[in-house]
Amino acid sequence: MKIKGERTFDAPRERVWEILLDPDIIAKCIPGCQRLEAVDADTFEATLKIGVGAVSGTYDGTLRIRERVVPSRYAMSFEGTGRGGFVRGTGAADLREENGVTVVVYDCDVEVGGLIASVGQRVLEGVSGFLVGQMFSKLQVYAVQEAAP
Amino acid sequence: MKPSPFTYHRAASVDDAVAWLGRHEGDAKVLAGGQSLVPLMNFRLAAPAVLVDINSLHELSSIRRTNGTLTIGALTRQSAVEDSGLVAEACPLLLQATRLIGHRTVRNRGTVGGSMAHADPVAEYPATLVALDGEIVARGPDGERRIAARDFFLTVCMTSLGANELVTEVRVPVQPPGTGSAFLEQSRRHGDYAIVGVAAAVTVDEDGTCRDARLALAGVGGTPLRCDGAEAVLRGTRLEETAIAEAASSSAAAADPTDDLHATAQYKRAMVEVYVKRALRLARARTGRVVAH
Amino acid sequence: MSAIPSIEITVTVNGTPYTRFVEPRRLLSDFIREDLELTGTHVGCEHGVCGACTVQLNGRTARACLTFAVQADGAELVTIEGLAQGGTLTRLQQAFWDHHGLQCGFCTPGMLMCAGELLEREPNPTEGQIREAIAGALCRCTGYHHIVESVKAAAAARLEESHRDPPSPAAQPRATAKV
Repeated sequence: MKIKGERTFDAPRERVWEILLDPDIIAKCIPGCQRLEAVDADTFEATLKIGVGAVSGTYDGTLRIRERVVPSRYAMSFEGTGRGGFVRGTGAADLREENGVTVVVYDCDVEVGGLIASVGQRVLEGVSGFLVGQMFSKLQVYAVQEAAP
Repeated sequence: MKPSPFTYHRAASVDDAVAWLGRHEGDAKVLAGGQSLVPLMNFRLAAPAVLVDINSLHELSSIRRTNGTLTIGALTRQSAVEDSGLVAEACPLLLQATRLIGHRTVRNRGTVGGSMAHADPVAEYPATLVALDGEIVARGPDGERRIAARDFFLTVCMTSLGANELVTEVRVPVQPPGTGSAFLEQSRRHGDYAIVGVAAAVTVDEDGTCRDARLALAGVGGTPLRCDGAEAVLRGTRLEETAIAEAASSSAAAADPTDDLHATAQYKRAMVEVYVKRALRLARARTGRVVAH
Repeated sequence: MSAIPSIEITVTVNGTPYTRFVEPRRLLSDFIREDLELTGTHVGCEHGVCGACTVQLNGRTARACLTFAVQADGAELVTIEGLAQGGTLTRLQQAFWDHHGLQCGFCTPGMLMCAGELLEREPNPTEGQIREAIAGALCRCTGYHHIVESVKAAAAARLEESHRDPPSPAAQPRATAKV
């Protein structure tokens, strides 16, 4: 399934780039994120607890940065497993600056398997779109804050 | 196909239920009718560690009319709504929606509050609540709060209820004089989940002018869709065919359905237009004030 | 994870009280069939779509696969075994027999429960009302036609009897088979 869209950040591109790849900030923005650690410069490990109504599960996953073009684009791959199934995919984010704001265009291809996949496309797409939206809303708040010294 | 083990608690009061939900925050689920929850548990898609059974809370089972509001307790069975003369008179749209929920056996257990809290976007009650600008009343550890329909449904099966809040009442406005309504849905078989559903109500002056219109769609997104644009088209008209046609195409344009196993997005959009027209014509006829065109 | 203790429940089924210990997750359908050995209630889908597990719970039909046995503590159940009294089939059961309303019989308990509830609410149903009432129960054998005919026949027989012998004003028995 596809998760794609665009969000505008009221901040310069360098700042947006910085927060998108800062594990401490990302950890606070991903809904249900219980743990996010940078294993090395290009690898993050996370534990997420995601609940949709009665259906909830804890997922352990890894995200790898595959490509960086500072500060305009990065591409990544990710995989995660939990009791309810697995998630795998690739994605990319493009950042462009216009009129003093930064527009982030994201595009991910996600494969869902196992028990969770049987729930149905409309639930998965609706929920993932919603959770991604929540994450970007929180990121927007961090973007306008001063960068950490 | 058997559920995972869980701890069972039969709540003795609303406060007791809220306390249990809080004590096991995130791991406890409310058991009301069980018609949506238990299938999920039998598939092991849902595996709550704790179930708080609220079926003994008979104080949550009531249908009352106070001034201009119809208040329905969260535990009220859908079959009780179906059989209620008070609902038939005060809010016929709710009755029309209820008759389309599953089957009678499901409605004997399914509850009004449960259907709202489950928030399936193809279900009948969420679309009805959104069309009528109804309200959810919920109780949590900090007391009671009222949540407008527009703020309640967030996305598929997600609401703004906290993990330790319990729906206690559902409120809808009593239908004003001169109102006709219809709830129509398309499904492959009777009682199946809807592909597309329409909740429609129009209020007409004695001279036949449409004073108010309410329109909400089920099945075209993660939440029910209120068709503000279509409603604006209808207000002030005499609900002629041209006005209805324009409202129908406005609704179809506003809808953003997705492809799924049962129908493509394109098909659903086309059905929105068909069913909005049918629902508006039926609602118009039921006002008793406008001669059918 | 520590073991979840079983809960003692008492359920009255077809007029007889039964006391048993059950895990909370025990489905009512499994409780009836395995703990009480009343195997007339069938299990088809275990997610509430086929209707084969339909029983009467406190006077209303309910899907036993969507109910936990612990919820039935203190409740009154009627299963298919509770319809015929003393070996005499109910009017509805007799109609199914006379009008070929069953072949393999797997859906039949659910059909009888749903049709029975319809006839209590609507003694003279239209064909549309009958089809709607049984829409929640799936049959793989009959194509439904003879099931509908059976229900029609039962309704007609009851109406004919009530015209011949008007019902007495005595109170009707509660939570037992009626049609």
